[in-house]
Amino acid sequence: MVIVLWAVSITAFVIIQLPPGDFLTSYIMKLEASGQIVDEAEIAALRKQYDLDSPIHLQYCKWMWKMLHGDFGKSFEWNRPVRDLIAERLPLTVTISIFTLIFTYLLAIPIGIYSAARQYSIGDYTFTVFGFIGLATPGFLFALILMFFFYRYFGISVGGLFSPQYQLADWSGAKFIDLLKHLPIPVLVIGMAGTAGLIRIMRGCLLDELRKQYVITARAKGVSERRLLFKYPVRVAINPIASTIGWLLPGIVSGQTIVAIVLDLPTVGPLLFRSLVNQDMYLAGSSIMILAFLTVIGTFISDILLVWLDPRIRYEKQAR
Amino acid sequence: MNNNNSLLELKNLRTYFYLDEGVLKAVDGVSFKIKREKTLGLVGESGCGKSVTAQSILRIVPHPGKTEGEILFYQNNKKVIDLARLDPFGKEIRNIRGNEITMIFQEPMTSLSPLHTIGNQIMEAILLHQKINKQKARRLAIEMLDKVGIPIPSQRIDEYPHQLSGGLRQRAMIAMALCCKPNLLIADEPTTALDVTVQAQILELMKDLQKEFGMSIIYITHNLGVIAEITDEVAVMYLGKIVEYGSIDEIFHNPLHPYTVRLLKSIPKVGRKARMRLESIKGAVPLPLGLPRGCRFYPRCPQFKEGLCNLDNPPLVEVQEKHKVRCFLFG
Repeated sequence: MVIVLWAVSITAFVIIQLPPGDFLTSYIMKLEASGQIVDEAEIAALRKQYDLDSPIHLQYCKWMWKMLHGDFGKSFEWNRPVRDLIAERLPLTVTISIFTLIFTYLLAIPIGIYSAARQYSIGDYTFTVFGFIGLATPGFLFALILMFFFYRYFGISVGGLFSPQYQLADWSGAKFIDLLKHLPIPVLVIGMAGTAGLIRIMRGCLLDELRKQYVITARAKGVSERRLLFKYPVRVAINPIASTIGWLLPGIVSGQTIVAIVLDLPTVGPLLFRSLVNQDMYLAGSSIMILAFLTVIGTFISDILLVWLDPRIRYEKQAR
Repeated sequence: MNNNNSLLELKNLRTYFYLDEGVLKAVDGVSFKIKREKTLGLVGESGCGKSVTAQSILRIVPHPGKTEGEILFYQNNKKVIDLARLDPFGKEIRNIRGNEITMIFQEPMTSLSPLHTIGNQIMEAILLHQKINKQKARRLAIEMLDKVGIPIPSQRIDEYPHQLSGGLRQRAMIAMALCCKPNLLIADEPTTALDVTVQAQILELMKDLQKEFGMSIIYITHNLGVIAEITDEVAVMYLGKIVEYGSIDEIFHNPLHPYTVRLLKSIPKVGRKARMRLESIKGAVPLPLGLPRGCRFYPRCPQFKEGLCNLDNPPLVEVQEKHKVRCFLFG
């Protein structure tokens, strides 16, 4: 895990360095565009302050060293420590992600089971159609449509996660309830594609399992169809689903970027996006590191889940 | 009606699969009787309808298949049930499955769930059909595992299928099939996937258990050597129909149908001249989809008679007592 994270950190750093120029170039361009004269000396001072002139590997080492001590550097654009910026948004991001994950699984697994058990029924076809629409519709479009409908017919403004009066308020029960009220739409929009995908995976796996010999064995034992379905093939088909948590977690975090911009959600996604546009390297690097960290954590969780679910993996060590 | 000690009687059993390409007649008018405590062998090449016949009896034919005809099952309490009329998902047939009629399958590797211990799977069958608590069921399961010759059953019961060898898995399957003391055991090529020494052990075991429990066995195989070993009567199937039916001695020493004759000639024998080629039957079993008129074997038959075999389907005639054959050459 540590090694993976380290490799990711190098990659992240290199990627940020790849585009020509750095934050100062775009900063200078902005200043020039607004007609200001840029003082050479001032630039040199800034360069020195941010260490932009030292060789890349030195910059990297410094960045890593600081990060290990909990200092993620300073954002050029916001002129604030990166840590504060991310800390502000990460809890909300995680909240939305977890709700989305729960929503996705709660919806996708039962529908997948139903679709497989009643293959080619009207219900199966209906879900299949909705599933493909869900997969094919871009999230931001869906978000816009939902926003329009909710505003038009329910008079609710759906942008953001909080009503204006709670925006700057401290955490309280009322603020939390307000958050819950705002959650469904982002969760629905962000979870839609994942849900549709998961339904297909669940259905496919289960259909595979249903044709296996051990299902027939169980049926020949006199087990009722319903029990049969849940005890054996569903149990086996859950495994691949569990292993998808690994890529679902970062997928949700990064996949929500565009949606979050459209819906104006205060999450990490838009932050990362803007930092990339402005070449705000420490912010971008740290965000990417956090995404990578989430991926590694997700993979780790799904590995543990798999070991718990599947005795064939559990016993491998003892058998050899 | 049940004067001759029958246990199961098939009358004109037909299982058709209604596919987009047409009607696939997997089993087309099969009739036979199984007596109590006897063993019937069902022989034939792959795809001749042996397995579907077995599945039809338990009513577990896969989806587009439909079963018609009569499957009369003479229960212990003298009641006769026509299994073909039961709802395949209903309670009645489920009470018979795994209890009075059980089945062992060809591949012990895949026919046990990989995620449940064998104990769990055996106890499931016991708990479904007997009104006893879990501890008792577990004790019974251990007893059965012991009976089928699994060493240290009290430890093996908590193991997963992938921890057992093929032979042990098949023994576990047999334990599962026998734990409710069935009247009829359907064995669908139970030894095909095992190596020869294990095969012999399993056959021995099945014979012993048959004596002990007094059950009948339908033994499905394409291995004539195994048939000779274990069965009392043999039905040779070809393309969904029985082509020859008789006692084991009759079939082996006096085979009549050209198909049976060829089948027997294709077994290697000890003592035969070395370097001689084994005889084989020309061609392969065609798909039973849109079959031609006439005898189903005539395109591959060496004794085919123009104007007779390709026009009509021969009936099953009794040439001797306990020996029936479906061929124009006889009768």
